[in-house]
Amino acid sequence: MRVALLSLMSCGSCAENLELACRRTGHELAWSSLTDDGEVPDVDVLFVEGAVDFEDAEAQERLERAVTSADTVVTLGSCAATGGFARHAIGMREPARYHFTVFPAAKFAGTDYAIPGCPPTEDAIAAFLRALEEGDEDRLEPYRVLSGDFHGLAPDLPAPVRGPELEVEDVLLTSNKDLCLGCDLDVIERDLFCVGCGTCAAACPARAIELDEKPEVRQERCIRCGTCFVVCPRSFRP
Amino acid sequence: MRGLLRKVLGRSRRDGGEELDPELVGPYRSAYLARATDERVREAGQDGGVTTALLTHALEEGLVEAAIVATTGSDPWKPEPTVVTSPEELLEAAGSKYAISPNVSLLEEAVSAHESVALVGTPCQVTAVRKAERYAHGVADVAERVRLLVGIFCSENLEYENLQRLLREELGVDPSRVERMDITAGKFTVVTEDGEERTVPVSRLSRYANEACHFCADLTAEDADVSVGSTGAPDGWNVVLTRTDRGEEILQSAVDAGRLETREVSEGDPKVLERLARDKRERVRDSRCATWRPYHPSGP
Ligand SMILES: Cc1cc2nc3c(=O)[nH]c(=O)nc-3n(C[C@H](O)[C@H](O)[C@H](O)COP(=O)(O)OP(=O)(O)OC[C@H]3O[C@@H](n4cnc5c(N)ncnc54)[C@H](O)[C@@H]3O)c2cc1C
Ligand code: SF4
Ligand code: SF4
Ligand code: SF4
Repeated sequence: MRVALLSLMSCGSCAENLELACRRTGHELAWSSLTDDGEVPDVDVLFVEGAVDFEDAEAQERLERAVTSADTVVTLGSCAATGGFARHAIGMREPARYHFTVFPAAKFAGTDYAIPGCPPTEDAIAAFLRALEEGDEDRLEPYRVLSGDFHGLAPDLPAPVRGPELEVEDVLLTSNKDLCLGCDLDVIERDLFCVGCGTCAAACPARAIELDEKPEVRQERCIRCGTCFVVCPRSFRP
Repeated sequence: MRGLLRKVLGRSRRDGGEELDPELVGPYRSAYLARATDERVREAGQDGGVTTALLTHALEEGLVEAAIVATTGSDPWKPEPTVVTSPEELLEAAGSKYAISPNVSLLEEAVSAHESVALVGTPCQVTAVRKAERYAHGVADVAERVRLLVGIFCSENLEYENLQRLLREELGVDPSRVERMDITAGKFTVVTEDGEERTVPVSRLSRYANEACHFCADLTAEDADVSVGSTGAPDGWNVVLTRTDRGEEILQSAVDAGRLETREVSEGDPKVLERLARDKRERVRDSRCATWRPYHPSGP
């Protein structure tokens, strides 16, 4: 398959792993915005890395044009797929601004699949490429589900930031107001959903979750990758 | 997606003449009453000791190198998730503790240290592992390395603090004085160290239960390879449902090896199990939570 990469507001680690995964699985990385200028050539798969600032019209247009040149569009990494570092640690950093100006790329363009992770490992990307090449619908299903518009979150700047500190509940786990699948009832607390299974703690790549019975996120370690949310049996049913 | 999962795992519905209605207890391959043949296992086990016997079998046959179970920690009746590798440790971990034990928190640790593992858990935990199998972003190798998922039936679970409150407020007993705890026949029963038995109806438990359990429709661990419970079985026996090829194989091989004896489910009280399973499904339908259902299209 011919592969292209569009890198937006991101750190570039996803791109690096994509390159390794392409090499390993024998797919050609035909174009990358990190090294090539101009428009995306016609390719089979376009990977989009990073978030987009709602106020950055140029980036949005670039993304819109890019997705037309590929048969399959995949958001790569948490910043592009679900929010991630770009949204939560950069976009929400400045308390005077509105809460919600930086969005995952997935919010601005129709995508087919999403691979969250911060960054997704070379293995994870290679596994996806294999499934895609083989057209294995069953193995592709989770990526398809994750690319869906879970929370119908429209970019209309709902709530102002209350302070420089984010509340845990605003960021993570089952009542994540961003990743959460549309749960907009304030009365729903994290505890209401959490069964105390511990999956989030097992899955957290940053070892940011401690738990006795229910998880506690150590904010200073959390990289906002959203993995805890993806694996939680109470976020959405497999 | 659940349908898909079942297809992948080779589940099939039995045609007609089921002992238990798969609409209520979930699709299964076969249903039995069973118990461990080893008296020590039966003694240590909660009911018939089937869970412990199956895991012992899996360890000794080399099917798995390790098992994630809930043992008892330093506080009385407070479970502690543990990775065990020997039958002795399994015996120590036998018996139900009616408090949250985040067994899945050890999944990453277990699959990175061992080629093959088994996990025992409540239905929600079993579902969590199935999800981790498919959504491989978090824990790698779950699909390859988790070889056996044993689900124990579960009506509700409690946070430890609330278990302590329940024991003190409803049963007037200190947790450290409790010898045995059980949920059977609609009653929560404790036996104290001086042999005194105290009970409350299970309906009293819901005030103390973990909130999340009010939104749970799965009594019988429908995503497990093998589900084990007591509701519907005579004293000292388990109801066992095999749900996958793998689950059926291990159960059969444990029977062949003489570790388990089985009887027909109809010799117990399958109607009681069906009723409880139906009640749990209805409970969710009646719950006030407006957010849970839309995202769980397969739920009730
Ligand atoms: C909170 C709770 C509620 C239950 N409700 C019902 C019910 O309503 N109806 C019913 O039929 N059965 C219920 N059970 C299951 C029942 O108590 C037995 O566990 C089951 O019948 C298996 O019996 P056994 O003799 O094979 O168990 P054993 O051989 O004693 O094995 C039990 C296994 O469960 C593990 N375990 C114990 N406590 C926990 C825990 N809190 N979380 C995760 N794993 C644990 C142990 O490590 C052990 O491996 C419940 C269990 C729990 C923990
Ligand atoms: S707690 Fe861990 S898994 Fe969850 S977003 Fe933070 S780093 Fe990721
Ligand atoms: S993964 Fe389990 S322990 Fe973590 S938030 Fe979800 S339900 Fe709670
Ligand atoms: S009732 Fe459901 S959510 Fe609660 S512990 Fe049991 S299986 Fe988990």
